[in-house]
Amino acid sequence: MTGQNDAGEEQGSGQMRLRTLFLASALAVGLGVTAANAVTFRYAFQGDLNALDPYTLNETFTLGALGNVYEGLTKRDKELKIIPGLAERWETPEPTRWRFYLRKGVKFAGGEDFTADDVVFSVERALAPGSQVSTRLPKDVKAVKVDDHTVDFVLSSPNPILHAEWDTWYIMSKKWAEANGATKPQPATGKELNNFALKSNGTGPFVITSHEPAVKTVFKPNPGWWGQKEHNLDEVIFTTIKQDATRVAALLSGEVDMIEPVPVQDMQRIDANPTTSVMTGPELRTIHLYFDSKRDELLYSSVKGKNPFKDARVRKAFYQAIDIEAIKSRVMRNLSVPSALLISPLLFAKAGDFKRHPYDPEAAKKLLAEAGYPNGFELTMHCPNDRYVNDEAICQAATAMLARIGVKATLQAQPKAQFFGRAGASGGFDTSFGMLGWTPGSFDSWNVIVNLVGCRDEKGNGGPFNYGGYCNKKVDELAEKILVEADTAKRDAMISEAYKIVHDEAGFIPLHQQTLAWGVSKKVKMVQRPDDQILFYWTTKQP
Amino acid sequence: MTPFAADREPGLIARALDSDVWHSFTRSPVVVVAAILTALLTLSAVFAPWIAPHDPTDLAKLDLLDSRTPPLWLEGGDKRFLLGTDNQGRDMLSAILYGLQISIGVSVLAVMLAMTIGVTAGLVAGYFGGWIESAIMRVADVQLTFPAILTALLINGAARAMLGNKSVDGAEFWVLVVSIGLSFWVQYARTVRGSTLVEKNKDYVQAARLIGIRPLAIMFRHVLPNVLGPVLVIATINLALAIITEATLSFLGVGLPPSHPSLGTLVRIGNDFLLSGEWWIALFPGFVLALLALAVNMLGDWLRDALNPKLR
Repeated sequence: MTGQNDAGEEQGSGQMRLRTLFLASALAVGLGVTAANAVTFRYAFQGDLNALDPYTLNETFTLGALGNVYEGLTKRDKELKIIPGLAERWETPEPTRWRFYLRKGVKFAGGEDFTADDVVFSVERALAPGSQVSTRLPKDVKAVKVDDHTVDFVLSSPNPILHAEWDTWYIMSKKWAEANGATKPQPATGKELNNFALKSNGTGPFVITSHEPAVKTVFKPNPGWWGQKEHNLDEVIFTTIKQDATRVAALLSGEVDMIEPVPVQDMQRIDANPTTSVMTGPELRTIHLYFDSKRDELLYSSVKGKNPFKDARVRKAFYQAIDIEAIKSRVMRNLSVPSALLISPLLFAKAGDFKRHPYDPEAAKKLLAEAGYPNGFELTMHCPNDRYVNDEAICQAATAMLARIGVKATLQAQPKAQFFGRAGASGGFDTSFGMLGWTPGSFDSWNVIVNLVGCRDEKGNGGPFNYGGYCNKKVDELAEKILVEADTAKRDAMISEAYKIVHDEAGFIPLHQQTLAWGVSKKVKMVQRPDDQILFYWTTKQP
Repeated sequence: MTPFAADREPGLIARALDSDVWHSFTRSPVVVVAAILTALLTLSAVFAPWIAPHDPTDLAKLDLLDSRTPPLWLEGGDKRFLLGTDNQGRDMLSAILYGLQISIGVSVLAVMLAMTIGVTAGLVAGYFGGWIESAIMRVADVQLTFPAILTALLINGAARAMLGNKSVDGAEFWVLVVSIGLSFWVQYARTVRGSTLVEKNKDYVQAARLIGIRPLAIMFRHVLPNVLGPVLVIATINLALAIITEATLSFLGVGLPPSHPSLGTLVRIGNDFLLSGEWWIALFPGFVLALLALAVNMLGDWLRDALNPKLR
């Protein structure tokens, strides 16, 4: 890349070269001045930042980190309202045609101009196999270039919330992708990262200057960014610190300025420390347990020839075996809100109508006996161990609770990269019973019903994040109606109906919404949105 | 010193009690304490299912509401849990006893595996010489350049990759034994080869060869007993190393799963709570681990000195 640029300048006139030289030296002087009192913001997360390809992993932390580097056509502001991003404005001349007017004069960090071709390319790439962000776009959408700075999206049916999740569908440069062999996404299951997945080239406020997967990533401000700068940082360094105690110690000693998550047992200590505090807030993510109710025989179970989870009684028995209050008080130390639905009550007005199936191990045993498993059965439970607050501890507690109704569950807890790789579509949904947390990117129930609950095939067409393959045609029909319904009351009623079906047949075990907890140095001011993205382009730090 | 009748033909025990090794043992109170400690810890590991107040592997008996109970003598302690409980409500004392069993089991088996491989390789290399010797000893040299823990990690990772996702559940114990065993064989091979080189030119070996005994029989029935002394010393010292290696691997999360914790796994679980006021979850298993490693190591050191003719 740089080789090409250098060659171009060599051929330019002497005057050009002089100017370049002058600019370069001015830049060098400028850097020299700032380096003396450079403001460096360091933050640490429990999990890794692995591939830099923004289509590899549909996961909040990764998308949040890359959201500092890449941008979508739309963005979301501090209150999560949709605002213009790479598109200046948009309109819907017909219900099935959306027209986006692109921002002019925007350049990618590599120097490429941002045009309609990049948008059309990003649509193709996002829908390509291996991409985890394909749900941002309808499958049969057609992106049509009108001119260099206008793109039409032609749909087969109306969709009033088409652009609701586009803040995390990042636009990539077509030229850069072609030059770097990045025209196809890096799959999450890939044993090794392609070379391009270690590089990034966005239009956003920061650029990544060095990246060691799972160790350390360095961001520097993008001097050519089109927007208004709201941070005062000269450098941002991200590191993975997996151990809870180590992460807390790093914050308390001032080695890092911000950590996420704060282990629940350390909240008071961080708050009591004079130089740090805990930023808490409600989180939108709902943690749930899913069952493989699709396969005819479970992959990891002692039951052969049939799938016990196809029986709603078995699912309900599991549900009623989980003592959610004990998990809340002992594992989460009261920093969680038990949930009956797969969506946060902040996002669905009628959530109060639903109550969890009560904790009742005796009833659960009876249900298991009725279903033909009076002595329970064995299975393996799969969980991430570095994604959600206390994820492994919750799963451990769940296996102990299941043991009381005779179900012998062996826990296999893995780092999120491995877990999501195997449990998701690209790994062939290779689990029988596991844990997943979900924040609807559009902050709307339709997203939940389609992504988590919608029927899917073996490849994940349909509900791609329905890891267990739960399927009820009635819910799918409702989802289609919900998508095109404009009347809020009718829409909510249909959403309620869909949730009631899932609730009654215990398609999932919703657990809770965890409380967002960031440990932050008092030198730093940050914006914490309930969607839990760490966006440091709003962060300021006292030097 | 000898309570047995001295005027009879001395028996095996009597001979042992009259030996230099025994005298040097009784003269050092530190070693006696170490031996008693090792014996106590080993016995409590072996009899863990009978003496542990709870069965920490039985998930159905755990109650999350008992979690993080402090030890008995602290405020909030519960008389059911002498040393408190961990984050899942598991009795620490029982978990430590069962963990001890796993830790000792893994290390003993791993050392036996390493010994078998190393002694065989050393005997073969030393006795036959030639290209066989070069091949075996070059492999040993290469492996010696890596720290044992790194080799163990590597073998562990490779074994897991080969076994695949399905069969690794429950096989962790044996994966650990093999990975630690394979990373410790080199020392035995080098020592045994050296001694074999000396022994094989001695008259008794030449004589055995002359009357037509097969090489294998010479190696194992005639040479082996004469090179076994140093091997026993290495094995004892290695045992302490193997205990530590197992704990390290478990601490890193590639050892035994939390459902069947070894001492290292218990320390890993407790580490998250160490600075949060719930110190007993990491401290007690850590203390027992240190005690065990120290006691075994001291026995090994003493044995090395006692069997070293130059130090007598």
